[in-house]
Amino acid sequence: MNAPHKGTVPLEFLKGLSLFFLIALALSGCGPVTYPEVRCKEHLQKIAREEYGIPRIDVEFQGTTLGVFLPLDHLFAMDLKTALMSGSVTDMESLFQPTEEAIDKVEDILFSMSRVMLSTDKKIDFYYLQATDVEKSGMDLTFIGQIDDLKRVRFWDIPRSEYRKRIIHDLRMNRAALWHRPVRHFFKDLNESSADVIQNRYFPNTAREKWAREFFFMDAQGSLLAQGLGEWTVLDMRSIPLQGNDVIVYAKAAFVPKDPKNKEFEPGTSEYLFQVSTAGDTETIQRIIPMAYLGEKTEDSGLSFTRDIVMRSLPHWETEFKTPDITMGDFLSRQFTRRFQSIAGEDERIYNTFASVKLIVRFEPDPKPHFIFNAVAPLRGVKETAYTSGQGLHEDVLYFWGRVAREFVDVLRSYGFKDYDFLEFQLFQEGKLLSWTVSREDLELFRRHKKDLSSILRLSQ
Amino acid sequence: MNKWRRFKLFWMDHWVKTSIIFAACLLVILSIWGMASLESYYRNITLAQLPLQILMVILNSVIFVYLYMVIFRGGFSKLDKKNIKGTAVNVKFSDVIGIDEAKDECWEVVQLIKDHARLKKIGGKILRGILMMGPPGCGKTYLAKAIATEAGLPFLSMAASEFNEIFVGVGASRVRQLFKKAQRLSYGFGGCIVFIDELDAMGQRRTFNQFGSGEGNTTQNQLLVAMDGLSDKSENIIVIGATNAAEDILDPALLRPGRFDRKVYIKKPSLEGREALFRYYLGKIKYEAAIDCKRLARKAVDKSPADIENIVKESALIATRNKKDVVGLKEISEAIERIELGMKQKLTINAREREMTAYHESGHLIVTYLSHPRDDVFKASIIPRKSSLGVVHPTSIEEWHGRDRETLFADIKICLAGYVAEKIKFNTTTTGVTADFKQAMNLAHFMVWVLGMGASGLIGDYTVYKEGNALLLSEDVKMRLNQDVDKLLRDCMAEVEALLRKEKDLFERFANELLAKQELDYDEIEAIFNEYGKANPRRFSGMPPANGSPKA
Repeated sequence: MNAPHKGTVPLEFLKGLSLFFLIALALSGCGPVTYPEVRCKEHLQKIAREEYGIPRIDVEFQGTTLGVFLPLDHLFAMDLKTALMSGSVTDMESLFQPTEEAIDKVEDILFSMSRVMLSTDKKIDFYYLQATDVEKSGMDLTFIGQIDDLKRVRFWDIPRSEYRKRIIHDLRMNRAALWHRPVRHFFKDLNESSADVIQNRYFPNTAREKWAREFFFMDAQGSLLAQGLGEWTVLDMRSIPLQGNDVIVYAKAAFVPKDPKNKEFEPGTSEYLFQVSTAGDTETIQRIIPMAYLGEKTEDSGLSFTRDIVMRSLPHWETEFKTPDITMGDFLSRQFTRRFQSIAGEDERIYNTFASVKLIVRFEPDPKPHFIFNAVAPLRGVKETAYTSGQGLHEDVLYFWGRVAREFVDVLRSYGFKDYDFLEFQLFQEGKLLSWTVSREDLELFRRHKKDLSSILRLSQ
Repeated sequence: MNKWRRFKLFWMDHWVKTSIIFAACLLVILSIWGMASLESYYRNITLAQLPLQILMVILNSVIFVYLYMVIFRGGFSKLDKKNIKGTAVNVKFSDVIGIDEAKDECWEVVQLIKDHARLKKIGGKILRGILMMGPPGCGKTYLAKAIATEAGLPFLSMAASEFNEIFVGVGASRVRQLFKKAQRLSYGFGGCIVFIDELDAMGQRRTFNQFGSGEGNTTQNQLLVAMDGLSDKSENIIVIGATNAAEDILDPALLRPGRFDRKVYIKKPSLEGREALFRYYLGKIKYEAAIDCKRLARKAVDKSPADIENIVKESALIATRNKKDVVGLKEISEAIERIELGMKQKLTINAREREMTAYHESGHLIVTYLSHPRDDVFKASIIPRKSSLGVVHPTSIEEWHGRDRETLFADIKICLAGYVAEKIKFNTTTTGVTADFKQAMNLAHFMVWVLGMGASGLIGDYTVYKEGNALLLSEDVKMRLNQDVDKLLRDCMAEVEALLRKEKDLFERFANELLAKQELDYDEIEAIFNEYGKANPRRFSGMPPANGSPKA
């Protein structure tokens, strides 16, 4: 006879299994970070390439800011120049409406960035994404955000609407992108176009033998080739405007044989200076000067650069992409600018009282850290003045500043930011700059509705 | 073959558990794999949330199970099938004491179970059900366990009341579950014994009315179907039912051959049985060597094995309370008294009432001792117990299975003795005679109306002539019967009065003794009677005294 069925063995087994499961899970959580600091860039590029099919992004770190450059061929749905020239544009916002493809790519990259930022051991406080329309408009669409906001929105600590307010997005012209465009096209043509096309486009007045060897359109025996043997990749581009409409573009490009079996030349890099003309509708290359030919002394009357000058000044030349080193004060001041601008646009009283509001918020770390609120906002009433020594600040100005101060204290409290001493309100009147300060302690009382703004404003002498 | 069957049995029993364990293992592996493939942030977040998730899962499970059990399964009183292997029951036939006749019958049953295969080969009918009937505490469950042990079969035990629920269909469902389990065990172990205790809880006669059959009917129907279904299977399942209800209480369908086709009547133990039981239970405790088990057996007439066990256990408790190392006769007597008469009560009684009680009980005592053909006086007491102020406790010196006219007559006289004693001594009577009169009237009525023991010569059971509550008898017959009852009572009273007046000294003596001592034990009582030259008529003649019965 067997032992009686007690039904406890499976229970014991399940107990053991549960214990094993919990231990194994706990141990699996003790693994290393997914994206270690040293390989963050490569991981981000790999995610973009392999998971989202975005072949090229540039990644760099500035302080605790992760910057990503996303070059796009077609950022906006409308061609800006054509639309403007047509005179049919009535709404500027519709002009800067990104294409769906661009939005998808931006979202993909933002998500990739969030994955890497959250699962790395590198200290990252802010992220910066610059999506640049490199082919058409040369416009940048930038996004700046804080990593803690990302975490908080994921845990429903802040609503998504608030999260959107905390992301600073901006639109601006990127001159360098436009200047670099013909150079990019040139290297692309080297890879794809025939010698005749290149001859006609870039060297109409130059014998083919003069450029063909430099760009691998000639074999070792000196025979001219219809297609180039090299595959070119642009590594770096920088530019500096000259007088007039000319720009000098520095380009460093790597080359490898298109056919890996071809042993006629070894892979390497070359540096060139391109003289680009920005006159007319499109930028055109006027001259191509290999850096190797650039002497120690200026020999060319049309170009005042020596190799030494170029190399020394190169770090200061304009680039398409540069990641700002963002600090909390800087980030908050940018955010406040947007928030306050939004208040000024949405508040009916402010809108009706002030003619046009242009404002900016800055953070000054020295000598004492403080925020400066500077607004150019003339009152609509011609006879009214924002401030008189007798009557003090105009009630509408006080109302405007009160709305601003309320938003200011609420946002700072939600961030828990206390590394500032005061908030300064600046007013430009009759050629004089007047400023009022409010200390952090008074702002706290204001936040708790213990004091109103007029009682805590101190006019600076 | 056997191993393969065992394996199949295991799979049948545990396929759900096995599948769950397999699925759990798979999920564990996949979870760990999935966890390891997560990015470190999500991994940490998942881990951080894990305790809360586990807590929520447990909480949800508890709520779900609770609601499921309450709503769909009739609460948590789930079917408690006590699944025990036969050998694990470990009650041998040699352990069954005092019910030898029933034991012999059951031994035959065991042989039939053991020779199941041979019986089938011959073509004999397989035993399906055994019904054990008898008073409570006589060892029906014990005997069933002994059958399981001797047959070496798994033993499923259930009380019939466990089938009953307020939820319709639960009882029938439990019967199905029970027999399904029994069939599995039988498949694996070659047989199974299903024991249903207190069968009358589910086996009473079914009732049918315009509202349809009740839940009890449904449960019983399922049992009938299940027992019938056993014949379709080759498995050796024996259902043993136990009840202390009368046979006619049970539904005839249950008792027909093919269901409970073997009936075992278990009676209370005989003198030898009681002696053996005392010896057995005393063997488990320390007791004085002087204790005579035979004498104890005589004292414990009509006691069941459970009563005897209780007496021994109670005596051990009393001995412990009295700081004694061993149990003596005194403790056993006290235990019997406590069980029979109840606990003594501390009631303040005035002298007059106490005196009346003493004379009342002395009347009972003297009439019992001197006129009862079968009963001895075990104890007389004027200490209040239960609802009475005093008691005379008669005990039969041996078991009788029927009662004769003389005994019944003596019983009536004893009942009336208290009344007569009060009247003689105080010339008044009390409410203390209420229960006595009720019993006397019942006995007299029974003798005349049912047993044909009346003086008028009317013979037969006159209570059967009735329609509803109305008797279909002529007023003349009723009057004659009632006159007979009256005459019987008066005759008895006259005899009692004559006896008590005759034994006036003894009467006074016992009343005074009771007033002085409050209680008199058997030995003291007998000593006093001997003092007055009254030998125990039962011990010396075995016959009732010459004046013990009136002429019919």
